[in-house]
Amino acid sequence: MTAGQGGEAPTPPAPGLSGAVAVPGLRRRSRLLDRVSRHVLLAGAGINVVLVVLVVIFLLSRAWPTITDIGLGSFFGSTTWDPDAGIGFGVGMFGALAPIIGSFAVVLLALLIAVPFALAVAVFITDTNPRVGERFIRPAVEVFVGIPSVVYGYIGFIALLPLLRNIAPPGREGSGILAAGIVLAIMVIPTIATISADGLYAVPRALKEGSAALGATQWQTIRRVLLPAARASIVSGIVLGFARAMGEALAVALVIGDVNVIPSVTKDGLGALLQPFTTMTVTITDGVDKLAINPEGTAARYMLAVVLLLVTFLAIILVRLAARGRRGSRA
Amino acid sequence: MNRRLRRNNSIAIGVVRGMVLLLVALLVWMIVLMLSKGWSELTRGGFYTSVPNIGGPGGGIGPQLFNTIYVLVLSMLIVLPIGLAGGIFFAEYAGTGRVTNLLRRASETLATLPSIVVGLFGYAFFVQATNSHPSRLAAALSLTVINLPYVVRISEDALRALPPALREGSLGLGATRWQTVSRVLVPAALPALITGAIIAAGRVFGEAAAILFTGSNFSLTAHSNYSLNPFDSGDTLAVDLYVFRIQAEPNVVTDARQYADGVAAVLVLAVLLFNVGARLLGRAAVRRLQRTA
Amino acid sequence: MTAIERIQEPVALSPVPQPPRPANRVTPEAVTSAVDSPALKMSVHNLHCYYGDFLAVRNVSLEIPAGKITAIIGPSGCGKSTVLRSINRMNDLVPGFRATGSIMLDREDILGPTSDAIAMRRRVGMLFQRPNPFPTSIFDNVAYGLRIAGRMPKKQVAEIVERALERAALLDEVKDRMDRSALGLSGGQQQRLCLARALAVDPEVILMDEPCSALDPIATLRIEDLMRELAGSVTQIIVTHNMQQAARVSDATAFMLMGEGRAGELVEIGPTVELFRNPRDRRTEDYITGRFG
Repeated sequence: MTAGQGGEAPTPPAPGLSGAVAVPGLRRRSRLLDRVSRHVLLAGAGINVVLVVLVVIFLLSRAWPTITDIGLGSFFGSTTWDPDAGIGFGVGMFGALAPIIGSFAVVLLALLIAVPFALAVAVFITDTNPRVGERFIRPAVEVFVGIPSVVYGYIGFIALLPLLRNIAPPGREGSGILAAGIVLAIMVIPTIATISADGLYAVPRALKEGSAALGATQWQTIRRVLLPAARASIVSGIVLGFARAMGEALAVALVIGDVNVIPSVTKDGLGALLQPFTTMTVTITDGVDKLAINPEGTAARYMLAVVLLLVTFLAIILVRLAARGRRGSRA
Repeated sequence: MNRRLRRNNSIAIGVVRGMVLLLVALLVWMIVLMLSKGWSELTRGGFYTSVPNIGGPGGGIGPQLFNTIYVLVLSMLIVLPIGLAGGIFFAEYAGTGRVTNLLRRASETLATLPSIVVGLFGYAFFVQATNSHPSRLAAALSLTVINLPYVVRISEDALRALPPALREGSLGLGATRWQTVSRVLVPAALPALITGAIIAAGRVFGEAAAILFTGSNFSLTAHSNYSLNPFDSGDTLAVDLYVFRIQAEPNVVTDARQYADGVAAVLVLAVLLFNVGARLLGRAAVRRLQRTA
Repeated sequence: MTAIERIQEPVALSPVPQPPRPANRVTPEAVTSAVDSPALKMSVHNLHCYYGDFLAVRNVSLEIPAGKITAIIGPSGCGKSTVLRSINRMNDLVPGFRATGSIMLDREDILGPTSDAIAMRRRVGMLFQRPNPFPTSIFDNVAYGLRIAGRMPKKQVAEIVERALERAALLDEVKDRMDRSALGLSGGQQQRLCLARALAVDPEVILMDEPCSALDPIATLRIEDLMRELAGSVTQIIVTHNMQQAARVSDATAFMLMGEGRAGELVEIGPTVELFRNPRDRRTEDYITGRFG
């Protein structure tokens, strides 16, 4: 299409491939649409950033009163948590040490249980029984993932707690760190297993063959070559499982008892695992009905959320740094 | 020497297999437990239509079921277009520069947020900042925050999985980028996109923590009575299960326990259906791709 | 004598008179009597290899004289690697693989039902096409075979590792960085490391599957020199698509070709110089003179 110059009449547009005449307006419209759509799509992707920023801003701003009114010292240093006492009169206590300890204790136990099982699943799928693994175990893992967390909590409540009640000292409900750890472990196994399996798949066949050619048994190859080679994936899977477990609220709430007293290991030994306790997420959840009416308690809960986020992000960043460092040192 | 090695080998592999077997048995047992306990409720027609009646028989999950579907549809309507847009951007338009990196990092960060934190944010932003009360719209918006990274990733993967010949063919005929995307690529990726949508819907179905903070009114008895107003609050099934535990005493009142079993059974059933549905569609997607390749 | 010079030297033949040999028959006696060592380390009898239903190798019979280097040559896809990998039962790792016939190592049939593949692989080592060191230190790579065999005092392990590296002509280059990652070595060094790793368990036979195809010419010649040094104490079987290499390095050569149904067959086997100067089979002659393949 050439534009007319001066007083010349514009040349008619040339026919297109199919013999149809190319319409100048249509071309321009398509180009405009192309440009507009690009920006719209960018906006769609950009909303992610907007949301992250918003989340950070709002969480921090709602948590701020903790620093000003309550003081970080008493927040992290005290274990007395009684946020709803005398609402509005400022006599509530906001020591959050107990829930923080509880979160770590529960998640640690969960990982201790989950990691061996997750690795077993990963090794099963990739090495010892790949056919059965792909056809049955992978779909089973997906079903595991799909079950809502409340249902896990509910099953824990109606099935696991009665079981634990039998081995707990009389008078106990069976709820506590052990119950929560078991429930979380089951929830987190699929995450760790899937990522570890991907890492195991990626180990080059040549390494497996090299080990076999030297006379190693299947297990020796798995233990000495495959698992170490997939170490990066396995660690990243564990960290992701850690993050998930840290953030789980309702399933834990249903089986942990929600009592803000740190169980005493020195007094009860292993029985401490069967004492009702709490975590950060549970403490946040049990204030859900008073969010509007208890500003200080709410601020403290937002602070807990901030702590939760910081712990999660820290773990993920550590893993990314470690992965980059290892990749850099390879000659 | 060799005998010991062989024995260790057999033992170790046996242990691995045993552990996996244990997990599978656990899964089966959990599903069977839930379905069997809730069976009497599941098969009672009135269960799906009547309102809860704690302390007495004959209650149902009518309003909660309605709310769940309502919130599901609402949140899908919001998150699918935005997520698809983001996914298209990453797959077709994005470069490898700093901006793209930032966007990707943001999406990944969003994905790591625990749902309870999203719930708190949802309360602060969608409820408090707008000077309103918990509503199903707020719940749907919070669910968007949770699901957005997932939908973006699914969309991007679906588009990237398409054979480059498709793209090149369209561009080679003089189509613009947008025409290629809208007329050729998205339709071709549709099965994979639908599968992803179903999985995302499954996650919404089971989500409780975020909705608890943004859309719930914490009681089983106050309902929205099947209202269509997005600004009304309401409990979904998953929230219901949790709230119920707090409010009622399942150890004491047997009907209450039965009710909870029914709710749990419905949730488990829904998960299985979503899973099977997504899997069947996944297979159709693969077959479709092979035909266009 | 370097590898290149050797090609000019006539091979010392034993003075045993040669019986008249019909055109296409492979006679074990021909090989044994021609090459100056009557002992057979390994022999393959009527080997058939199947991948599922597909016959990949048909009726191959070979004799491997002890302490000598036997080469298997032929165009791509003729089954030479399959035969080699059957000799140390590496093909067991491939699902659906089946081998019939017998493979004798000294007096034991490796393919027999009571045979212990794992123990056998310590007597029959393998070098692969691409060097495949483990991503650990140089020391740990060489010590691997020792450690999986059982407990051994650290001092003994260190001594054996040193000796193996020496035999592989690598010790001088790595002796002050044994703790560093093996992946920091060059391609040629890595392959010599893999050789040291194989030598550490003191194998009687070493199989080499095109060990130099990923290496530059200088590294290749070093490996060939090492092979000559090892001959006498170790029996070697090398698969190569490089005829010149086979002519340079081996004492006996077997020529394989893809036959009907795409199954590999043995065409001819004999002392290397004879095979190259005076091939008995027309097909061998065609291959050697480059008329195909």
